[in-house]
Amino acid sequence: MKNFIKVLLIMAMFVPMIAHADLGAPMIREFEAEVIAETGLTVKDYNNKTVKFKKGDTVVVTGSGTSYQIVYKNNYYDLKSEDIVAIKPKTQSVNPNDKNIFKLDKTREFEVVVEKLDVYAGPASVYEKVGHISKGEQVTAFYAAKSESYSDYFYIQEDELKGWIYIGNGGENDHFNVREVNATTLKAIITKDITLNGTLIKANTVETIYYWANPWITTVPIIKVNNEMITLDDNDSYNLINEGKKPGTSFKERQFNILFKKDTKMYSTMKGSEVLETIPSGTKLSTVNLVYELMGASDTDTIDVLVFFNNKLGWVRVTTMTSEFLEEDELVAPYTDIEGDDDTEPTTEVEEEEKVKTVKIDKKQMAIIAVVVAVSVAVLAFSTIILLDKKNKKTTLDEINEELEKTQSIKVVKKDKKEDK
Amino acid sequence: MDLNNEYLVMIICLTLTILIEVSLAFIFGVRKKRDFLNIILVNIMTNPIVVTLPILLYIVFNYSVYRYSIYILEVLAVILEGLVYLKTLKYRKLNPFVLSLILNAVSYGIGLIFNI
Repeated sequence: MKNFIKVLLIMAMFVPMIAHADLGAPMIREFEAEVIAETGLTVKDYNNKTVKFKKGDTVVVTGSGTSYQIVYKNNYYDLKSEDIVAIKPKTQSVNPNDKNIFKLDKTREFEVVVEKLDVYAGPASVYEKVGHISKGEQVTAFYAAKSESYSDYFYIQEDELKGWIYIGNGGENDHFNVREVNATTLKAIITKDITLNGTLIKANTVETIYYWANPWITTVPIIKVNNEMITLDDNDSYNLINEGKKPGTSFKERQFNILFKKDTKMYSTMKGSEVLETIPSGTKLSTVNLVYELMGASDTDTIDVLVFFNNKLGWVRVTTMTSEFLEEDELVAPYTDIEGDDDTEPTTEVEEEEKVKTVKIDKKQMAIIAVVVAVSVAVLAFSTIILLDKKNKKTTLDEINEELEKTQSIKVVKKDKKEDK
Repeated sequence: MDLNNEYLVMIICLTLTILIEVSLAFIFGVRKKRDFLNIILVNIMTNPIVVTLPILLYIVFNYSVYRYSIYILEVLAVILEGLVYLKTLKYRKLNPFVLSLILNAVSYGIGLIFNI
């Protein structure tokens, strides 16, 4: 029973760590504000329940981004944008020494992408503006409000300008105000016609995807549309190509070789319209886009992949009946350079193949060496355990023998004494 | 994980595992220096293999093999460590296999939280 309680206590120690994870949408830090409007402030909750505050009342404010709510008796009341002027934060500014401000492990570099980005005295737009940063300027963020990953307000310091900026969250009506300067980028092919920010992006366009941590901790794909950074919400609208750096742990895709077991049509677009080629049975090609493994797939599971065949790039629809995904070290036919962004330099097919081959062999070699080292260390540790145990037993045995001898010699002395008497 | 840093990862995993398991063992009433030493040695014996072998399997095979290998290796590690504890530990308040299970479960759980 005692041991069971001990285990429970240990598990309880980790609850605060998990609770700190701040699951859910990013919220600004709660702060206290005073109602300053002469007529007071009236707010409604989701069920239209109304609460009225008079001038001088203190309210607790929370929210996300630039939308705010009043927290009152465990209920949330929406603060309309026109009512924001009715309140004034009790603390005029929030500096990095305040509670719940997180120092970033690594500073983040942002470049402003909007015409003018306001800098506030605190991590909410209701605080006083202390300055602004113009488009194209770069700033360094040192602290985050709320938590490092769940914040959309960051503390910046550029010369004499210190304060908080709102980075935006990339939604349709709330675009990012900055771009991260050292964002991970990957190429992707757009799989269907999509409209972002009023602009049509046609299928089969190659785009650069930027990855950086948004307030929701996961890395999200961001695409530049008319110089604005917009989140690509629809996961089905793009396929990553070229096995490059993999941001975060959310990507389980790889490039594979496919063996076509039947003659398969190759189309110009993902959902099949114009037939470009027919790939004969027995052909082995590598996928151009990264593909999720077909785990436990049934005969009817289908997957669309991009392949390069006869100098053409096209889509094939494959099933486990018509093709087989091969787990091989070397890709059979990597793609040649795809037209699109000018960020990548074209490489020849042979160079690309060699590069892929070399990288895979290096990784495998290193992993084998690591396992060999691990096994050697294990054998050494095991030998040490055995030796120590033997030594321990010998020592114990010696001690026991010593004790026995002592006892026996005492007995002999006592016997002698008795005999003397 | 960047394979160029695999050795660093191995060392970090081992160090953290040892720290967690030794602390837990102390909480459970282990007091003898020899017992702590055995706990450390047992982790040096099992942890590097449990970290590096799945990575090799991932490269050679695929992600699903990697995932299942971790589960199998963790179970084997618990059994092996339990056997070693049975033979070498003076501590007897808890069954050696139960002790091994608890220590490994907690260190694995903490590893999962960090990875999240």
